[in-house]
Amino acid sequence: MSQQEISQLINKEYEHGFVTDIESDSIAPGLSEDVIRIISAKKNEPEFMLEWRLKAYRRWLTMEEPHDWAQLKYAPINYQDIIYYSAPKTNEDGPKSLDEVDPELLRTYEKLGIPLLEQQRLAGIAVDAVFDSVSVATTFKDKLAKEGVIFCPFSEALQEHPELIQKYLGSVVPASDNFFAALNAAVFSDGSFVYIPKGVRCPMELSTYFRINAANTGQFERTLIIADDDAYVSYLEGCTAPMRDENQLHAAVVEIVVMENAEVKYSTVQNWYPGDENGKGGIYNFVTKRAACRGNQSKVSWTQVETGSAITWKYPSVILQGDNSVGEFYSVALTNNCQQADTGTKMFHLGKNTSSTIISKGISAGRGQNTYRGLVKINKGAENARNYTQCDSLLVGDKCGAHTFPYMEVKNSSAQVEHEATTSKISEDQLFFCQQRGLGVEDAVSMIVNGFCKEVMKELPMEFAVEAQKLLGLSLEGSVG
Amino acid sequence: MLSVKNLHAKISDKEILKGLNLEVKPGEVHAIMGPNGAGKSTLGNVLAGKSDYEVTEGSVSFLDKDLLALETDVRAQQGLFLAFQYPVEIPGVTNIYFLRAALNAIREARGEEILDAMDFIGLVKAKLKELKMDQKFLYRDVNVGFSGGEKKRNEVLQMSLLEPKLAILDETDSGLDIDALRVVADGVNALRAPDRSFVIVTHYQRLLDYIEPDFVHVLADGKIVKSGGKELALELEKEGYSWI
Amino acid sequence: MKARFENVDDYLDQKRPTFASQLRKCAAEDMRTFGFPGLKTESWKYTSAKVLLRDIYQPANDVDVTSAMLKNHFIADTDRLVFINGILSESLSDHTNSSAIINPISKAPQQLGKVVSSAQTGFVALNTVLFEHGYSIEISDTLSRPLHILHVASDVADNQVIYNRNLIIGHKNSNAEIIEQFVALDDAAYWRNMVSEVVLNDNAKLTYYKLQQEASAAKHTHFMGVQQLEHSLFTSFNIDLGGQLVRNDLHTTLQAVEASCDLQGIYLLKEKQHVDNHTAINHAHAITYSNEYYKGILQDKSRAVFNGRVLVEPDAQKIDSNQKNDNLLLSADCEIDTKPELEIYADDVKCAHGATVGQLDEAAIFYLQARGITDIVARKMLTFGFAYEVAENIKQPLIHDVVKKALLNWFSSDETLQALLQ
Repeated sequence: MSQQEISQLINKEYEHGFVTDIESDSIAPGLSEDVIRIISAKKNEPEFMLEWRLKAYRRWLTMEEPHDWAQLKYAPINYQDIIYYSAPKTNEDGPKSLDEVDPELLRTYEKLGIPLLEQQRLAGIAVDAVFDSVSVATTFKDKLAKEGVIFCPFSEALQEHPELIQKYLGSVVPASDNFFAALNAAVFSDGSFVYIPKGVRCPMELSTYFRINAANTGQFERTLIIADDDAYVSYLEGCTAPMRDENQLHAAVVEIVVMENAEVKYSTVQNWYPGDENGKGGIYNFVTKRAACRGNQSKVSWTQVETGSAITWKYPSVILQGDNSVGEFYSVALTNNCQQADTGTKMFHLGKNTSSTIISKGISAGRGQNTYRGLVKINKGAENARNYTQCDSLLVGDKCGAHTFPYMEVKNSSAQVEHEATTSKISEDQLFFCQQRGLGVEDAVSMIVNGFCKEVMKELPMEFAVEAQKLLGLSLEGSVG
Repeated sequence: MLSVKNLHAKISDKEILKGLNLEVKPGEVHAIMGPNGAGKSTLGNVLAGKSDYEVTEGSVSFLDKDLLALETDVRAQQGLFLAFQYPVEIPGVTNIYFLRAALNAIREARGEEILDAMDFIGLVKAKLKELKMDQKFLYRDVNVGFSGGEKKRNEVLQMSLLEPKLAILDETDSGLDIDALRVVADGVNALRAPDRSFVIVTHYQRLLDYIEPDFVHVLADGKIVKSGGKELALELEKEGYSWI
Repeated sequence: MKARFENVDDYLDQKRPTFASQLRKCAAEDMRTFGFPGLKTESWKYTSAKVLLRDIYQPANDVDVTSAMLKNHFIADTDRLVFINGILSESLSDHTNSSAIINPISKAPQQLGKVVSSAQTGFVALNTVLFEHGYSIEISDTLSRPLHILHVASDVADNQVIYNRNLIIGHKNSNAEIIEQFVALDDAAYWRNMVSEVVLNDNAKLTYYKLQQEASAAKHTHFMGVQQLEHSLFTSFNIDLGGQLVRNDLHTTLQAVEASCDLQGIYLLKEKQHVDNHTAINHAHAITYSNEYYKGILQDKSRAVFNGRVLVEPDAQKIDSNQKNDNLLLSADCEIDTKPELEIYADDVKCAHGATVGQLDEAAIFYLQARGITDIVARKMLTFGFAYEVAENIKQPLIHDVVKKALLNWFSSDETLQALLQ
């Protein structure tokens, strides 16, 4: 297969690139304490929230945008050009049910393959849709409420459960954690909030769809998930954005708190607009995701399929505090054209008998640059910690790059830490074999790539796995030849 | 020699041996056959003292001692030898050091003189010759890069050097071609003696064509379900294990 | 990025040797620009240079050492080059029969700075500004026997530094084995700051053994750069047994087709030793190969750092690269920070790396016990075997024996093991 054929196969246009014509309520671009006060006032937030935001903002002013360590190249972002609040303009109090949601918006979600009304009828997944920075509709609230599960927009939780927010917000990702987390803490406008009470197995999968629509808008959502003792929840996150020539910033924060015997499974299919084949436009996806396994026997599993964004910078991490707690990270990251991804995880082993597993699959095509960066840290008190890490990179085309930077810091002699990584190109033999059996090049590549990612894909909930598989095929189109 | 009574053993909460009885007298050769998963390998490992297994009931006496109370190395020093189904690779440890360390540990326990390097090399070279093994064997790391046949021959070499009272051969025939099988069998037969006993654990009858057993036992679901003479092995070969 | 600039001016004020003045001038500029590695310097993340910057080190003095004092360190059937406190000792050296052309480095200043740039780190720049001694070795054929370069520290004060600058050139079709050994006759907290440049031309082969047995209080920083041309082979065995603070940088660039390198290392640490091995293999050309295997055993409160970087440059196709780092932690207070890195900009490559931190294999312990060997002895044998696995790849018998003896010495408190393995 020639390089030219390969590059033809990878290039396919982004199918979620439409813009929805919805009147939006935006504030002027730029960032200042006043802007933060406006955001806070618009959301009618309690005083502690405003104070928290302002503190984060002041801290952010003293921080520098990270440029020197990640394997990423990007021009400095002008934070005064960004609109920090944009919401679909509906009646002042916001939609009470889907009937009140702007029909245009609902059509947008349908185009995205997320028919909210449809979803409400089908049992299975409860959806919270975040449009630009604001949560517009949450389904299945009543059914969940019966179990005591709280699943609502962050802003609503702030009104109805301020004590939970005050207790847990920033307890896993402090406002001062890093440059983008601080920015998020200052300006975040909405997101999802989940609370699973003691002993409750959430009866359905919870899902949030994020959509950036308005131009020049940054999206800064914040998700907080709390699984109390013996609770379980599986949470899904999907995202898309229109095609625009300029880069848009997405700086989200996800915090997860897991108590004794509880388990949280967090799955992401990230398909933000990646920019065109020349690298024009696309989302800057700078996300901080972290979970704290506070209780003994608690477990967190991160699964991510990252195919979108011009730049992805995220390291979903787990702090293994409780004894016997378990952290898992399964990742597929695909970069094509001019995309750059610097992603991985951090596993902090603090408790006894803690274990972590990291499986990372990177696919680089076109001129894409794909970096795995991970840290496994075994603290002195973490007796009998176990880690297994496997990072495989697949190269499709001769202009791309694949990089692996695993950090292992071990301070306890009873630890067993094992890291393995391989990098290779898509096998000519496999391709030849598939072609000889009558498969087209595209199908063959897509099949081989899906096989390469299988260990991660099987961690995804069924509906998501199908979507993710299709996405991999689409993202690769034009890359092969 | 060996007396196993009502032996129960489990590994990570799964009971594998469920009341196994076995009597082995000096000079006897016992074959233990059985389907996969019957507990054949467990028996060898439990007798050798592998710590993954927990004995929950029963007793084992070996040369009138309570075998289960002894550490693995002490069992070996007392004359119990397990030929591993999967001999372990030990990078960085040369075969000759390993062999001498083992032999001297056992000699010391028997109150015999420790062999110096020169005496040892003479002894081991003679053994190698008997077993038709190349001297290069000695200078390679223990089992590292050995073929399946070489590993099993290395086990027989160790058995021949350490001169055990009781040798348990755990599926020593698995993965061997007919030539290697013959070499292994010759090695075992050469060691047969009135005061030395063998327990040969195997799935197939073919090893027994070369090492003739006095008794054949069928192990199924953690117990000996049938015992007989060598003709039982042929029956098993013909009928399979399903009729048991 | 945050570098340290303390001491830079003090060192720049020190008297410089007269040769290689242009090179020194550029290096002084680099020192002023980049300073010394600080806490935020990524490649010094786990090793603090603080202890090296606390003092202004003065060059060590020449002292008298007799050959009787070194008898135990000489290796029979080798040619020999001896440096006492960094200064060449003609009387202790003996290489008249060697076909290698050996000169003081002051005779070859125009060749320096081509493989290792003074912009690499402040310590390379410092060496470049102030070095006076060192060797230049040119090899044109196959050396009939190994060359033993013995660096002896004797009667050095705590605040003294030994700068050496070395050059090895393997001409076309040459083949050499060089063992470079570092020993101390007494304990002191001196600092050795060495830079070596190696050029291997077409078909040249060099096997380089480094046996580092510095004084237990000593500091040792060594930057070695290797440039490899067509079909050259660089094999190195880096064995660290001594020193308080040790930092080795070993960088090799595979610049032409079929160049290959094999970097192996052992680090055995005890007490409060800190040993940091940074290797970088740059596949700058298509069809080049690399292999790397470093193993470490840590005891007491020691800390080891391993960072192995493999870079495959754009268009460097048909690359085969393997890398492995295994560590054994024997005490509750030691620490290992390991980071194998792959940075790949070409697609037709087969690269793999792995790293492990763990304990002895329980299956192997059971196997040894089943042969009558006690638990304690089994563990000792396996611990020695863990390190020896690398040493047994040394094919040259003289050097193999020297290294094995050195490893055994490290385990010397252990008589069982000694008796067992002699």
